[in-house]
Amino acid sequence: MRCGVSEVLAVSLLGGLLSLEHRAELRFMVSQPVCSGLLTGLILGSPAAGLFIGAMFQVMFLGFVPIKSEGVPDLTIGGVAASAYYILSVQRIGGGSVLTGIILFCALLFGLAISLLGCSLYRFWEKRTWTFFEAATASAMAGRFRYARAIHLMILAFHFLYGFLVLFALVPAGTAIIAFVAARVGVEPGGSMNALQYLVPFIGAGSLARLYFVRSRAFWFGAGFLVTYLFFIVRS
Amino acid sequence: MWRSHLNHLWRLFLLHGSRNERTIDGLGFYHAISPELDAWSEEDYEMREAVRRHMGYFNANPIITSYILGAVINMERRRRRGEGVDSAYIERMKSTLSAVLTAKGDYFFSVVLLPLGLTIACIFAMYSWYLGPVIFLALYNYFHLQARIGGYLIGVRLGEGLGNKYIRHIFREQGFLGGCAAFSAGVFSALVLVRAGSYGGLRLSGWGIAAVVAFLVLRRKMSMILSVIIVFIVSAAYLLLI
Repeated sequence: MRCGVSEVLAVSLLGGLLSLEHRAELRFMVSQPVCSGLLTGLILGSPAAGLFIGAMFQVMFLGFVPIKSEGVPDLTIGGVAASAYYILSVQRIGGGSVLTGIILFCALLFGLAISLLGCSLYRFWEKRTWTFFEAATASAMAGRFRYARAIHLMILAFHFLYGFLVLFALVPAGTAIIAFVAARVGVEPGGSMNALQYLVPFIGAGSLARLYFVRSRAFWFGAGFLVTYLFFIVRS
Repeated sequence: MWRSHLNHLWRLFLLHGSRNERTIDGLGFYHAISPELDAWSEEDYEMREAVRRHMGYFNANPIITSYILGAVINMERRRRRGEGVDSAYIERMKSTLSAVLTAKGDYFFSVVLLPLGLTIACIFAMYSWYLGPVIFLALYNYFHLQARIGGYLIGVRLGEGLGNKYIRHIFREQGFLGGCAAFSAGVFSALVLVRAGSYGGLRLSGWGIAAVVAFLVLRRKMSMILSVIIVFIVSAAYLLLI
């Protein structure tokens, strides 16, 4: 089954809107991967898979606090792309339990690569937007105030277009590559990759531990850990 | 009056759109305050002078900016009425409020509220419960909208002197929520360990703990995204090899 144009178009539109939400700092947080994954799943007719892959992508960045000097990964587009890759690839090749592990790995890896690409691109973009600002200042000083404001709104269109075009170009290509890889991976290595969903959350646990140990919240972190762990020990 | 407030508020939500390295959110701030300037500037020269001031360097937490914008509008109105407020004072208050309130806002929203909501959402999502994202969005936006809309209205009505009071009002639950965030992070970590143990036994849990240690070591040397990618690929390679 090939990915349909309408599906790719719908995912790209969602990506464009969420990219706008993320970059303009609307801050409703719908663009966080755990939410955007669910939305992607709803669009592609597989909300459970969307929520699952969105959460897998999100857990890797749970304790991430953006610092000005550090590039901010584009989790929004990465999350939507990872969810779309996973759902479309599973739909395309049937995705028995043996293959879902390798599809999960490829989808998350491609999503991470897109996040890294977005991070680099936006660093470059923020250096170049100065020219737009200069044009807006010149317009305002010449008394064309509406034009200055239009430049601000026009830049917002760039954020939408970035999300839309990246997904429109990369979703079909990535899905085809994942399907190709998954079809050539043997049953044994493919099966062993199913454990990836249990390993990935450890990255999130690490980033949360880092966040709360340096923020002198270690007591509550330890309390939460011990209470939950003891609960499972007693129950078993 | 409400029409004027709405005109400012929707613009506040698009503040960061034209972020650049030199003036950061200068253009965004001008866009947000522009309806006010349009309303009172009869003389072209005065308008240009105000636009030049408000298009300058501006760097603040986008949520806290709502209070700063409200306070600046309040001061500009007092300046117009000749109540002893001049342009230099407005500029000074704007940069002081940005510096002081941004640190508090960034801490509350990025270090306390966001990880708390996302951790809860991910715990639910790991067990395929759709409720997780809903709880996250409700929790975050309760504080977000309260700070954004409420902050703007406090600023417009009461002016620049209420920075501390505003912060105390909006962030009064910060200590409690911070404890909850750390506690939920502990719960999440324990669940991750239990799930890995029940699926792959001690070997998988052991590798998971090694991944945590590797991540913490890498994170000291490199960016978040690169640390994540390296640990992710190494973990996948380990699974292929065992």
